[in-house]
Amino acid sequence: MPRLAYVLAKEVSYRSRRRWGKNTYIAREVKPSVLASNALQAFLLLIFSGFLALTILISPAEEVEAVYLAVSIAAIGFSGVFALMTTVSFTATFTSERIIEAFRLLPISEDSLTKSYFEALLLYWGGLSNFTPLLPVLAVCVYRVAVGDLPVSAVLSFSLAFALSLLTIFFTGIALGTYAVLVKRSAVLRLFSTAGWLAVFLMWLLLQRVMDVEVLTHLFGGALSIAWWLALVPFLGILLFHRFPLVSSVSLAFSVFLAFLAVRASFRRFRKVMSSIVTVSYQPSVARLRVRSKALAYVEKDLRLLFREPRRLASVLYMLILPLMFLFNPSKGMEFFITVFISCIVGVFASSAVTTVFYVEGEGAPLLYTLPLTRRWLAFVKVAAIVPFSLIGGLAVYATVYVSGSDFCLALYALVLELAVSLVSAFAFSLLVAMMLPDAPSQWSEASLSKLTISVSYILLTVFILGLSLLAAAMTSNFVLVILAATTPSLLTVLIALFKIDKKSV
Amino acid sequence: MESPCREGLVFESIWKSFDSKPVLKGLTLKVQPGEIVCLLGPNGSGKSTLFKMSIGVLAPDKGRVKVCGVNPAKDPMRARQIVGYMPEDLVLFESLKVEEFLEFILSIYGVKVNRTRIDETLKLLGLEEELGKFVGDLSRGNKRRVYLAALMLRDPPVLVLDEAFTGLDPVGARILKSWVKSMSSRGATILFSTHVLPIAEAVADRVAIIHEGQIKAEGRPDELRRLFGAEELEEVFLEVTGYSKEYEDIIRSLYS
Repeated sequence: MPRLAYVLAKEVSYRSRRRWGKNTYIAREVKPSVLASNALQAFLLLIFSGFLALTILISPAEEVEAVYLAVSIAAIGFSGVFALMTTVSFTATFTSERIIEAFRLLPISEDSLTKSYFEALLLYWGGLSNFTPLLPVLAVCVYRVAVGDLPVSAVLSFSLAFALSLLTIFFTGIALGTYAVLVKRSAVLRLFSTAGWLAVFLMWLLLQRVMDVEVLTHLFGGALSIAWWLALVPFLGILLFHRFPLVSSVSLAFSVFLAFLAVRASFRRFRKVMSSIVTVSYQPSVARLRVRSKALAYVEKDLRLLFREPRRLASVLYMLILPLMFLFNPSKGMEFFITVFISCIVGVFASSAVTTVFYVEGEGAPLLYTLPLTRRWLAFVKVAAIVPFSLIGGLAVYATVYVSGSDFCLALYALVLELAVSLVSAFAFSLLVAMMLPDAPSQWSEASLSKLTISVSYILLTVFILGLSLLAAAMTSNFVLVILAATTPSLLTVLIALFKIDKKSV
Repeated sequence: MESPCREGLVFESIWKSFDSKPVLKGLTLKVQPGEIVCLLGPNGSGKSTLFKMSIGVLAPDKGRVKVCGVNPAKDPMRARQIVGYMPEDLVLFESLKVEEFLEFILSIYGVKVNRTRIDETLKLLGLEEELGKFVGDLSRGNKRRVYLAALMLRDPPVLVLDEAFTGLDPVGARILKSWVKSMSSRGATILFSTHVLPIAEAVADRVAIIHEGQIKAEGRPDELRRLFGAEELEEVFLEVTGYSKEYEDIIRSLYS
């Protein structure tokens, strides 16, 4: 008989795949295999951390301490992000899909269910693999200790900092994940959740900086001798034990306390989820049904669904913030060219939100097959639903260009170009997705729509849009011509798709 | 209600296969305007397949479907506007609140607002207190009531109800029965399925029993009982669908 933990992990995996597509690491075999469930993520993490560890190995003796610090922080940082995503996604699926209710019907004690939950998370959901970055970094630290470049305490303090950080993040992730079931019902929690997902996405960008070992080494190299207060920072301060033992001990004590709080909070939250059936009190509502135009009602419904899914909303907003991370400082004569580039990039990113607006239909999509809707009409209203995001993207581009060059006309032009690119591309994507919708009633999600076809079309269209618009920008400074060049690939796609999609019903 | 149509609902010599396995084999069934027909049949006999053809979700391999003269396979948009279809497995947007869901459906169908009618329908179905709730938090019965409210407010000339009574409590079931009968008296064409035979007897003007892809028996409930020399419709159903008395012997030998 399969172990309870494996059955539990399989169920979480199935529900997660149904909703988000194949983004889980669980092994597909019927026979439980810890190795297969952790291998892929462990391999990726080992490669990352292996490269980091190499920098300690090859650094000259006088720099090894600063490099050790930089690498330790980077290793803890990206392991932490992975651990957080692992635990939040597992717990959120477990609670929001009410998987517990199926297990509660069986003669299984709460304790063994809790034990199986942790077993499932660690062994069959890739939880164990989050600890693998410890190994290569630790190995090279031991080597540098053996050759006398690092103090013995460095090995111990890195191990402690790593273990305590991950323990805290792991349990914090579980505690946060248990709120998933309440997120849909509370606007405040939705706001926090969206911000949280955005933070996780943005953390990848920040990690690129953190993992720039050279920068960190330079930073620490200068600061180490004077900044004793660095040793006070929880978790990371432990790494400085060999320099500031007393202050670092305070950091250690504080880190242990934080870890304890995280463990306690997660167990409390988890037991609450395990033992209670979720009941929600509602304020009685007055019958005020309003009938709107068909299109407006549809757009409103789509936006409601999107705003009630923080993870998807964050993925849409992230697409708009991402290009702004690269605030530019244009050299003279390049302003127009760079403005065209940024406007087109943000426009294409914003247009990709249209696929998300299809995905939010999710499990409710089969209902649409019973309604009088054509695919062409649906493609139109989906574009209408992303207009606010295109506008936000356009305003962000406007602000960026204006701040960078104080040129009002150029900023306004950037706004117009972004809007044109995003809306026309969105229409092209929308028609492509509408054509790909399953013929038989089924849910629409990353799992049911061909991600590969969507991704390939997206990449191709992006290449053509950027290629043509930049070519036009290099050849002329005529605004209209550049807009025409930037929108031509999408316009052609729209024309072909409109011809093919006809008036087929959903 | 849109003016009742003269043609009603027609399934003529319908053939349908899935993965080369025939589900419907030349089935013919006609429902006249103002008539209530109940389609009975074992699980997997093709009832839902047939019902889905009425709104063009599925098209027959061979044969002809007409809803008020409209071919749903060719003009599903018009068919969906005409037919009030309730699927067996209700699918609703669980992240929408009840009032948001109803507003969405009514807007899609372009239903004209009649405040009194909306208020009275919601009151009748006991949904007044549920309007602010998320659809996903409702019980199965209440989800069906929400769907039923949408259908009642739409007031379509043809009703196709697949296991619509499943999950409804006696009050809900009574409301549905009364509504179906009142719709029929106003000329609506109604086809429904159920596994609860007393409901079929109480509501339907005519019963059709589908088995092995064909209509095996058809007629008024009392006519069928007389024809098969049965006291209850259940006996007719069991005989038509080939229930063997041996099953009871097997159960007795295994579990007594």
